[in-house]
Amino acid sequence: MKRACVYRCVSSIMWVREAEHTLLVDGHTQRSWTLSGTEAMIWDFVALDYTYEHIVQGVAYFLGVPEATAVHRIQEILRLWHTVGIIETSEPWPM
Amino acid sequence: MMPNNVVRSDLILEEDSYIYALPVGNQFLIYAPLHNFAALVNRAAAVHLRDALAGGREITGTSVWRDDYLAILAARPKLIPSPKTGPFSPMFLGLLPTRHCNFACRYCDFISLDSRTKNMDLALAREAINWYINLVEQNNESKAEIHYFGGEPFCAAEVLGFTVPFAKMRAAQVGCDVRFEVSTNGAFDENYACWAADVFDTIILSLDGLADIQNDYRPYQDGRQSFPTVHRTARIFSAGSADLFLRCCVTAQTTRKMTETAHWFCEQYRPQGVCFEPLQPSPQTHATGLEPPDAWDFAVNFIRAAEILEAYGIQPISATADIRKLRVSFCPVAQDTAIISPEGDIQACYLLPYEWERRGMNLRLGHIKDGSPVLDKDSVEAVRTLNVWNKPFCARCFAKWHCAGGCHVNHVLPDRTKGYDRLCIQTRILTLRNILHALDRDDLVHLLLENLTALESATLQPSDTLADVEFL
Repeated sequence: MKRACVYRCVSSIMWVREAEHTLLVDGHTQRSWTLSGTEAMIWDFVALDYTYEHIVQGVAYFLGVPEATAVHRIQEILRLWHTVGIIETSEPWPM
Repeated sequence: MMPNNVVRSDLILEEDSYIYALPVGNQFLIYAPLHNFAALVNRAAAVHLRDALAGGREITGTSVWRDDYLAILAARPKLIPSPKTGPFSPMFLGLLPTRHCNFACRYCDFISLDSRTKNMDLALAREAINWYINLVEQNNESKAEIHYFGGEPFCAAEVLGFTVPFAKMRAAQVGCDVRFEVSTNGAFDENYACWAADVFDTIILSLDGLADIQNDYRPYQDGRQSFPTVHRTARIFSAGSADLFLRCCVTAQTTRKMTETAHWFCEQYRPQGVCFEPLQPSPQTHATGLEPPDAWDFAVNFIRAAEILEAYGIQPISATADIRKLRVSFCPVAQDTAIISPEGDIQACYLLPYEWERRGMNLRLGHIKDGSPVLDKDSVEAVRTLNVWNKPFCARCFAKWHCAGGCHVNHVLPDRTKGYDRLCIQTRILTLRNILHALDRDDLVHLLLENLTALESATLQPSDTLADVEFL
């Protein structure tokens, strides 16, 4: 059985949405990040519980690229967020 | 060289209606909105001004009228509101993400729509924004503005979630600012409420009053009460960065509760303004037993509610009586506004097409097809003619530059011989009130409210043009 990778926000991350950016601060490590453009949009989509389908579609139209390219871009961003410690993997869900 | 106290009037009062006079008790209000002028004077001074300005003859200053005031009033206004001309230049872009709504308001015609009406396609939304931002750039404008109407826009939340960041990106690419405004019923979850409070510049939230009224007038489609959710949303919006405006529909049944509602809003929320709107009668409202408020009752209760709001620093709004605005059209119609329907029509008005079609009007400006916007130039020019210059009924009304005749679709102007209708009367009372309030003469407003004869003299005067008024 394939297992989907499920991400969640690291619990020590606090975030605030500003006019042009979304600011993230890790309360434990004091590290911070500024998200804008596609990244800020994906962050909002996830926070608003958009379906993955809608996220892919939104990113595709935002960037003016085919959905396959949008999927690739989303995965790149998620991997980056995971690497720097913004999100972490939780128990995988069976697919 | 002319002596200091002599000026020449450019105005021919019989032809121009830029200066008005209204009886206010034993005084007269001289009102010239295009000259940014208002004054309370006695009968002798009013008559002198009329005679002095009549016929373009020379005016000799007196101790009553200062020379500089006479000079201001004698000159043609520098800025006379005019219909749009030239290249298509939208006042804003309107998006209708969906015609669907999760409410079944007792007075709303939208509930007759099939709930399966389609949401706007993201490809269409993208094309609309690209087209609009390109127009903003071509017209060398520094600000773009996008307004969301419905149905309920949040029933197509994916359209909002995509278009806001996309429009920001496109605006940044052409070097302009963009602001966002949404009209909503507030019935969505907390996450969306927080998001909206952060990303929108202006939110217009419909809330008809306390729980009993809101639940009765604005239930969910499945009959559930909406007040708990909308109240929570209003609290979230109050704490957010968006400017919040509450819109409250008033019926004959709720007119007497306007002051209680105003007080409740002030205690519970932090709006910039509260807009009280009288019910627009329709077959739907007749079917559900709702009636529009009596004009006099509405105006009197509006003024009482306004005083409560103003004490809290909240702006009372009557859409047709806003004296800060000078305009030729009450609404986005005739101002080149492009409102995109979910089907891709470019409309001048957000109402359902059948509403204007039944009045014999065509407010469709074009369409977006296969990614290409197509404007019908004849339609654009025809819609531009829908302005107060072409409403003879309004020609001699002192409120014409603020109200501009009201809604082009729903306010059918009355027969001149029958006098003012309900909407005209309430607009005239509230406009007069707002002018006197701006002059810091609320005492005179109270005197008028206590003296129906005096209020009627001002309100029912058939012509307000200075040349026409009988100074008895």
